[in-house]
Amino acid sequence: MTRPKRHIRPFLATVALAVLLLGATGLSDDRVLLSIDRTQRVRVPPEIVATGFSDDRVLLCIDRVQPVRVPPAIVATLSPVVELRTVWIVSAPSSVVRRLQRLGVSLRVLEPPAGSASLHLVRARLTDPARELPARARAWPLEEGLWLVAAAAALTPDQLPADASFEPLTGPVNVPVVLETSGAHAVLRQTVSTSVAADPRVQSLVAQVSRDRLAGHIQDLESFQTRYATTGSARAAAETIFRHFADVGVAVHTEEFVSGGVTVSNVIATIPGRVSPNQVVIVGAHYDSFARTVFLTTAPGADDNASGTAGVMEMARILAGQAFDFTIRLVAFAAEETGLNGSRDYAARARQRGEQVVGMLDLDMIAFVDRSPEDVDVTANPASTWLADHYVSLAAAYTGLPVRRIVDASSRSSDHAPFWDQGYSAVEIIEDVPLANPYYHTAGDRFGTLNMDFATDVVRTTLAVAATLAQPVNAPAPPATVRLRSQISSSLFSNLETTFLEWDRSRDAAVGYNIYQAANSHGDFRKLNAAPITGTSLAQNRFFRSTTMPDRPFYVVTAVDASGREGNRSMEVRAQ
Amino acid sequence: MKASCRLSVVILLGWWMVAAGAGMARAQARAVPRVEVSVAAGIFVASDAAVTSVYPGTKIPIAVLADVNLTRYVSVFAGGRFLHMTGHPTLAGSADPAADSDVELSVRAVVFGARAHYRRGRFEAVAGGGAAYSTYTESWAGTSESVSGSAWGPVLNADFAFGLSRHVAAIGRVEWSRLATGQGSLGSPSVQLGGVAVLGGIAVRF
Repeated sequence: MTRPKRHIRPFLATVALAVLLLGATGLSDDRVLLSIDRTQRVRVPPEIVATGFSDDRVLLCIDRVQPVRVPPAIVATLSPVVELRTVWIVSAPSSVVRRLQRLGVSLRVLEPPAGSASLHLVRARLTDPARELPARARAWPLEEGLWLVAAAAALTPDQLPADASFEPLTGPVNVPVVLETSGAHAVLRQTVSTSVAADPRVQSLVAQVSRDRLAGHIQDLESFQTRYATTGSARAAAETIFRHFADVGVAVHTEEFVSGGVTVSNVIATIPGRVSPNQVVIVGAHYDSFARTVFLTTAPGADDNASGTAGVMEMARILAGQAFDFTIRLVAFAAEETGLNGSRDYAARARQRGEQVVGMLDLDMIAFVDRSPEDVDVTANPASTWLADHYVSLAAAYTGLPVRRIVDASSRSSDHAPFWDQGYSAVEIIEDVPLANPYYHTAGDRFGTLNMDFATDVVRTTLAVAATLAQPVNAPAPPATVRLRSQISSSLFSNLETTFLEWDRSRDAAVGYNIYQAANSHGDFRKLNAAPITGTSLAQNRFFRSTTMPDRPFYVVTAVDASGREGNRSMEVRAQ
Repeated sequence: MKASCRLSVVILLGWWMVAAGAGMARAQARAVPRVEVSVAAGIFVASDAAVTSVYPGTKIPIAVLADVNLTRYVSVFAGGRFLHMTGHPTLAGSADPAADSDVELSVRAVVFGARAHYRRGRFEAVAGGGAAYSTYTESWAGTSESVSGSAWGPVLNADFAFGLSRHVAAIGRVEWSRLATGQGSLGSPSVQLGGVAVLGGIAVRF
């Protein structure tokens, strides 16, 4: 009886070991089992007890193009402060910084001095930042002529060198951080088709732009002597713009905010969309001005930026009473020269109220010519490249204006930048990058230095782009709303994305609908269906083998009537 | 006489049978079979939570293993293991039952290595390790979508055998393997197909 027991004992021990091994498989890879005393010598903060780690955040300057692939899960923890051409400024949990450093990610840790309350992006040629900046400010070079400045209080223009411009950085921006490897960089340079046929209705609008009216608006604005944001004459200029909008018959309202301790106003004209009014095309220009040292008394700002404001005012006259599928909003921004405050306020409100901005066109300095023929420079960030491409192709179709397209996320010195920060597509339309106007920010920036033929061409082209994006009404009307739901099923080695597209019926008599898909926003849309779909929904399956979510396509829907005529495209939708 | 003769014959036969039986038992205890082939089935517990998440049901592997004894204490082994699972993909986004689909995973592994034996009477304990080469195919039911791949990894196993007769034994086996595939999906960026299998079966000794 004793011998079998001796043999069974090791067997039972091994079975017990196996059971222990089976139990151990329940532990996941990324969690560590701890034995922690119930009674501690120090007080453990509740957030550590709750989450398992403390989450101090650190400011980083991280290169856009990385030598190593950064796992998406780590990228997701980075909170972007500003996107620039070659770097991102982000805040990150300190624990993530150590992981990034271990991975070999190219980054710099920025440590603002104690008491720093505000961050600024300063464009200036600083040779000795300690002397050229306010006391206790700390500056880090980011790119050529571009500095990140941490200061105890908000900077003002007079605290900086004469040729400097600056922008306060207010916090996380609504832009997903994209870190590229050298291979992925090419994707951001992808462009859309540039062949566009001129629409006679848009052509007739373009033809109405009046050189003389533009000149008159510029002279009117210049006559205020200064339009520096906090002055009474800037307020008077806003009232003039408001009256003009009202006189030409567009709906107009103001949005007020405080800048430099003074309440200032963005002046906003609206041509409401007939089909999808929540889809908004914005044309904006700042009406305030600045001149070094004498800005409170003499800042005529004819080129900067009575020229752009005049363009917005002239477009209001032409677009009043016109019918478009989407809304066009013409905005005269306040307080650009003191830190893009008007556009920042507008863009933040637009994001808050869920406004779907199709694209924003920022007219800033469009009337000075330093060579002949002059071209206009259109600056986009990577996400707005499609809009710059659109501008190039429509210029060729409508005006023949030479356009230089620039993709540079660091070019943030105007009202387009706050729209970038809110995740909207926006471009800056400007006579020269870098600036060539010798009267820039001086009392000499007057009407006599401007070339009105060039300004007229720029306004015409911008009007063509705005009208094309808003789509002159056409029968059959597209669905007012297109909704998209997406479900992703993941097995161990592949994923199935099922996209459910649903749309409203056209308000016109439509017999069917066509569905188009494109890889890029406003890109090369391709029809998915062979014959028009009679229903109002479509489900589409897509398998993909990837551990990260690939770029999701964009969809639009068009309606088709009994005679086979196809109407305008609907709003663009994309799964989030 | 007849009765005593019969009794003597019975006693002699009995003695011979006992002696022969004892001799056979001693011989059996000393003799080492040249080859042992086992067939076993059991349960498999995956060590990767992602596998359990997509394939939550009971997983029943089937294994065939051949040991060639080089000495009384050491053998080399080679064999195969097959495992088929049916599961359900993990969902993200707005669920729609119409888009749900079953998924199936087949894992085929070839294992080989060396083991040490400890024999005591009818009991035998074996432990060893080696390598596994696994091929796998995962497919979505009702579609032509499938993903195949292969993986190498280490294997450790231990057998416990009880001899039912000279040629047949009942076995119990615990086997651990690790098979990092280097592939994955959104739900499971890196999938490891190994785990622990507990098997029971029959071994035939030659």
